[in-house]
Amino acid sequence: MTRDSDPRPADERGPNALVLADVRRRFDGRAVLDGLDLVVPHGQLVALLGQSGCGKSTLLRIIADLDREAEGDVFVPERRAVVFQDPRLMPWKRVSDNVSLGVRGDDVGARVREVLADVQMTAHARAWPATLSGGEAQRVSLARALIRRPDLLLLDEPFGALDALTRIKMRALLAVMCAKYRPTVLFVTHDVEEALIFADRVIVLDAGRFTFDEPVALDAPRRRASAEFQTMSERVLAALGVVDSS
Amino acid sequence: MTIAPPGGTEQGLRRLVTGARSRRIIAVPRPLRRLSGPIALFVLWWLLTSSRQVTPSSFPRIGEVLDTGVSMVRSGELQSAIWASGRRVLIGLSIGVSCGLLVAIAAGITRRGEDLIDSTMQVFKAIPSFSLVPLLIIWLGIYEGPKIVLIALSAAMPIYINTYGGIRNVDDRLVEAGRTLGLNRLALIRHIVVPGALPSFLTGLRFSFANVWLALVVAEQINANSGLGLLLADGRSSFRLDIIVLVVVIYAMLGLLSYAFVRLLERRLLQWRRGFEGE
Repeated sequence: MTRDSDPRPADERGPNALVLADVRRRFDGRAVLDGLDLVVPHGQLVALLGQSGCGKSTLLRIIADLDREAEGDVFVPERRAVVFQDPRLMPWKRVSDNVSLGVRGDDVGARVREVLADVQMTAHARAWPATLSGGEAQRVSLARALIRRPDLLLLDEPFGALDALTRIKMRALLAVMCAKYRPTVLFVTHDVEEALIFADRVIVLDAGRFTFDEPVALDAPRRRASAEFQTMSERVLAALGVVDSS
Repeated sequence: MTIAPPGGTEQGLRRLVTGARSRRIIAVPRPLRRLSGPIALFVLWWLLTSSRQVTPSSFPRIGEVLDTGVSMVRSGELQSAIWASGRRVLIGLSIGVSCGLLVAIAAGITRRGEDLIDSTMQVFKAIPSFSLVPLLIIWLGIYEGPKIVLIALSAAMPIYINTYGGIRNVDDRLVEAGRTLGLNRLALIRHIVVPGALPSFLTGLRFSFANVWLALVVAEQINANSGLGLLLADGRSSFRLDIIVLVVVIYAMLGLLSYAFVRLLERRLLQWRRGFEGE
């Protein structure tokens, strides 16, 4: 598999933040990803939906460069960051040291303070991860991704392990953060509403292929109750093979 | 438990005990409670030896042992013995811990290292280190050499086993996260593997400390020319039970001291585990 990173400064960069060409991945001869093509322009917020085991996490791991056994071509920008479902903070580093881990430059301290303020975790800068709640830990994880100013932000069901109330707050925070840091986002989720509220474009992965790929043409603010929202939601659910009779 | 009046809002319910903590009359501080066991032992010793049942020829009185201790401190004999033995332990421990650690890291972080080293170490683990004493004497003579090597060997094995296991048990998901943060191999080891294996290393250090005092006693029987082993040998040949018991008590105190040292290290280095915030 070839893999090109983009070392050029932002004004010289190309039009896209992610390009996949005929990406395939087999596990023991079984094709989990079966020829995926995708072009994501800079700044787009893409939600990737799919049922459990459809290969969406596999795809995310390939794009995050954690799985090098896939076939096909993957093109990603130099600056990428991942937020996993579990926060994956280093328990032996205080919050601020977790955020600055792997960040170089002489203004690291100031950048850490800024990004922790952004996610409203300033008061916990010196805390150990073990003392944080699930939502707080995930906010730190988001800060750790954003301090790198990623061109491509990969989110692997980042709110999947959070309680419903925290999830609502985290969605709002993520929207604010994306408005400020303007990354291209690939957001893996299994929550159709979450996808439709957040994303510019919704893709459905089913049995290793993209079976649905449409822009979300809903006016802001997006309201769940609106007829357009309901129609779109039903179409995405149909693509997922789910009939919601409620 | 009080029975609620019939017809009351609590009818049929059991009253749970509340406010128990504040009702305790005398709160004994925890360190004092922990000391009560050892103190009881000394009291028992004092009681048994001051009765007529136990003659001083079978077990010395506590005062006798203390007097011997004081006079040996005055003559400087005790300090030099402790120093001679302590020096052996410190040198052997340093060598053993460093070697165990290096080998564990080599075996832990690469597949190739594991294949080459771990099976070999499993073989060494099966050898009781004290069985090597004759070999060590033939190779290294009867002075410091075999003593220090024996102590080092007994310190190295628990360090290797625990550190290697610790490295292998480092959460793979954290290593993955580190990779997505752009950490290279060396940075992954420094920021994730080493701190992740630290708790296991400290467990190994505990076992090492237990082993080295045991190894010291065996090592100093090779040719007791100085140290606590010499005192022990002298005490045995002259039937000086007070000296023998004194040395045993000193061994116990040195052991306790080394455990306190490891506990201090753990408290310092594993702060993050206790989830305590700030300093």
